[in-house]
Amino acid sequence: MRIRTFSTIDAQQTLPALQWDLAFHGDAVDVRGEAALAMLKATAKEQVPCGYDIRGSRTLRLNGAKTTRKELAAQLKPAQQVLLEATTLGFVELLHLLRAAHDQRVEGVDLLYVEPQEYRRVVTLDTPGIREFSLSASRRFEGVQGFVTDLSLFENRPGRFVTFLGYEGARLVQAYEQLGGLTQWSKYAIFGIPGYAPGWEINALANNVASLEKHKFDSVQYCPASAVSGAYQLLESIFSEGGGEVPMIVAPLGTKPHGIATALFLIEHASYQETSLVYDHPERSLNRSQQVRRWHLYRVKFDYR
Amino acid sequence: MMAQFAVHAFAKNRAEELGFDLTDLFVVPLFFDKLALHEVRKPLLIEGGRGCGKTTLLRYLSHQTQLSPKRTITRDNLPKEIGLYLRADTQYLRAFAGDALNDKDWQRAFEHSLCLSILGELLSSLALLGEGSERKVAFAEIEALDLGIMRDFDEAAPATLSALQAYVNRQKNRLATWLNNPDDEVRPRLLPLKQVLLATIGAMRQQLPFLTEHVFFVFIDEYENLLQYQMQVINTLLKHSEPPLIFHVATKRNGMATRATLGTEQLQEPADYRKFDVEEHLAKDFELFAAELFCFRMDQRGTGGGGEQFPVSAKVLMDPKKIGLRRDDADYRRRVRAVVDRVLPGMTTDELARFILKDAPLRGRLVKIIAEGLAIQRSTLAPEAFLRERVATASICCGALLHQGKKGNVLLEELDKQERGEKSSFAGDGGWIHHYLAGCILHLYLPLQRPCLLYAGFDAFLKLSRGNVRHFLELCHLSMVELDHDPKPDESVPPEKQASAARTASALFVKESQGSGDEGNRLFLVVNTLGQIFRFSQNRPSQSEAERTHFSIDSALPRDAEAILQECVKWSILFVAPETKVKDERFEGEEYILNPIYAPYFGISYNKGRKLELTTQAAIELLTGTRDNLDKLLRNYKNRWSVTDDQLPLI
Repeated sequence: MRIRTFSTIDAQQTLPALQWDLAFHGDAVDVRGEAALAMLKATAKEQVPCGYDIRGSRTLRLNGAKTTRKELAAQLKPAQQVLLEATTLGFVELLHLLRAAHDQRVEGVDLLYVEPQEYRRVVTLDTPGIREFSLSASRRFEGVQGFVTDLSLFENRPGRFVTFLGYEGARLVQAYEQLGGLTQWSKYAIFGIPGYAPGWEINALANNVASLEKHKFDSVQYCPASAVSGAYQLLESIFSEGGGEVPMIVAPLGTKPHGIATALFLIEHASYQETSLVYDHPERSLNRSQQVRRWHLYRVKFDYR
Repeated sequence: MMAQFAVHAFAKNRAEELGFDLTDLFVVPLFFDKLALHEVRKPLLIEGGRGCGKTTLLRYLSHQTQLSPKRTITRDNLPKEIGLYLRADTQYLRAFAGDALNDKDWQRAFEHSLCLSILGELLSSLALLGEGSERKVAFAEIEALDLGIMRDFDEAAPATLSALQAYVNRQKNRLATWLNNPDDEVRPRLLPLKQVLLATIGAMRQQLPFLTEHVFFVFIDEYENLLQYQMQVINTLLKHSEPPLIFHVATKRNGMATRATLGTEQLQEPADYRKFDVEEHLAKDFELFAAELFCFRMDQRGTGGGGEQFPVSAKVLMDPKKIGLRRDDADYRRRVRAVVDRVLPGMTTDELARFILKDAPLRGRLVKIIAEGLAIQRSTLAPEAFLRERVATASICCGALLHQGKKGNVLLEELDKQERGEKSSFAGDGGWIHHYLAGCILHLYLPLQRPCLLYAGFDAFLKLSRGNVRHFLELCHLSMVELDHDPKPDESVPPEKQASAARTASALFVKESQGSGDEGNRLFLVVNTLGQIFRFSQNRPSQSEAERTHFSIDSALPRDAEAILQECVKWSILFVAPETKVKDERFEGEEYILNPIYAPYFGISYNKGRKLELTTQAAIELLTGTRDNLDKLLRNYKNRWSVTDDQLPLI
């Protein structure tokens, strides 16, 4: 798999030159999402709204209609130029869409992601120094069909638990509360460093440090917050440490680019449960961020050898 | 830091960290005989908040502990009940839903998954019983066991114990693979749970004479995490439980979201199951149990100067038959408690009051509060006249009393009486000291960076942990971390270090509230908002509504707010109690007490003092309001109580 990244702060100048046959997107919950959708209108011939129904059917909904794995695959043709708008699509949508593209042996897909200028803090008040951010409402760890794993199979065969971490320390706290059974596993934490902006790293570190200490993480690693290829390589290298024999679970609880890397890694390695996913399906808060910082276009070419 | 055994003694405070074999690790709780597991053949609903010890209890009752290789098991002492422990794997089982299968098939897939897990445990229990040279002789029949009965359900099933164990794992793998791709993968044969288990147990009992009378208990932990239809499957198993296979479940409070079964009947208590509230039973003797646990953990780590230091042996604490000895001996209680009091001494309120009068910053703050009170009254009395070491506790209350409008000269007269040992308004049960002292002490510490010494001492730790074993152990653990070396015989952890540990532990548990289920984020906000409100109240110089840590709501809540309130109870953010002292004509309802473990973080009391009566609207905002609503709510209380002092960050 080859991943190339194009980044710009001036999307108006660079991105309109590109054209896509088909673009999948989610709902905008903030200004950068709206900016991304506006860009899609100008650059994609066909735009398909897409969402994952976590409360009911546990399927993707394309244009509001339930869509099975086969129906989704049928929408993708090998020669198409496909764009996944990752700012507005959630992790599970990206995972399903990337798997469908991979299943259909699409040559490659592009993913667009827009960084926020600023994230929204939990409360205002007269309280300087607070680090908690209001990026999601309720959450619940629940397997995603296609990447479900029965952790009891690994009771006598502890593996590697790799988690990407971001601003919301609560997500890791919740992982340990809800998952259990990972005590004996080797634990790897990956932070997005450097962050999208100087100084942002400290928020992620400060909000997770207590959990890392409490659960005795074996390794803390770093990868730029916006680097899909770097995060993908990191996952590959952790996986290869175990010679592919040791089960590995990935929890994408950090930045979206790290989520994209996780999805790409899983579609390559998740058959036969050699690697699997744990995910908490956060409900994104409205207006969770303010304004736009940088635009990234990730160009993924699959390797079907 | 030096190598500290004492730190490690208390470091593990979650069941998961202790593993499955608790043979050398489990202090039998004093309520253990009340479970009556040997007598009552009825399912148990084991209820209790996070950290009260449910999982540890279930793991103790399970075969990994009861048949542990560390025990000498013979045919004569083989436990009559063999426990099979299952923890609901939330992320896996909650994925058993959606359009990939129809409802009936999901139910069958869930039953199949449950069947494989229980069967796996059942086979493991037998394998464990037949492990080791002595057991191979004592239970020789296990090796020759023929479980060909499984072929009635699946022709591909093997007949030997070890092959069947591998088969179970293979089937689990097949199920997960099929669920990941139901369209393309071959559907595995879905096993009927009860028939398979009863047939297997039947075959075991027939061939293994030592198991003829034995009963298998299935303990399903974290029942509250299951989907509703999955609960119905389990409820049906509870309803129809009978020897040789009885199901028990453990859940947090309010965790049984439905009593429906797969049939038309509902689960009925007590006809179908007994509810056993672990926290309620633990609370009855928590002081002794906590002290025993403290001695046990210290003794196990070889700290404290040798076993003779502790008035009880680990062997007694681990023996269910010795509970009576521990529970009924007043002298033993005193001796065990004395050990913990020595290592974790608190200060009496009198000692603390004297300390405050000698400590420059605290004394200075008290003088300032008294001076302000006098100034409001336009009094020319000197603040120092109220500070008297012989009646230090009374002196500490003077600031609040002046702010309540009590005249300075009246207070001085009462102080004189108190000093002379005469009857005064300060003394006695309904006296000012009784009402205001703790609140006044907390108020003095509130703006300071130093933790209040009221949070130090074994008694304070008991109140802060309120029957929660995990909270108690964390308080002990962090106290030892603060001490920074193993306590020598007769050495204590200074109260300042204990208080500091209490504040650190408190902050940890505030943070941990984020992990409280689906609504963890919201519950975290509730803790922080409520804690701030009580802190504002605590910071009033008059202390007229002292030690506020609980609230009531003046009428019924809408459904969404009520749901969050119930989540708070389920996750032990709040404790619920019948309401007392109802004003006006309102009907008595319930009152909600903030978990006292959060008290040191907010600088508030761990006692249940005066109640805050929330309007329905304020409660709705607290439970479901936006960030802006919460800001506004806090500002309202802040303005109403005219608080100008420092404030914690809300988060």
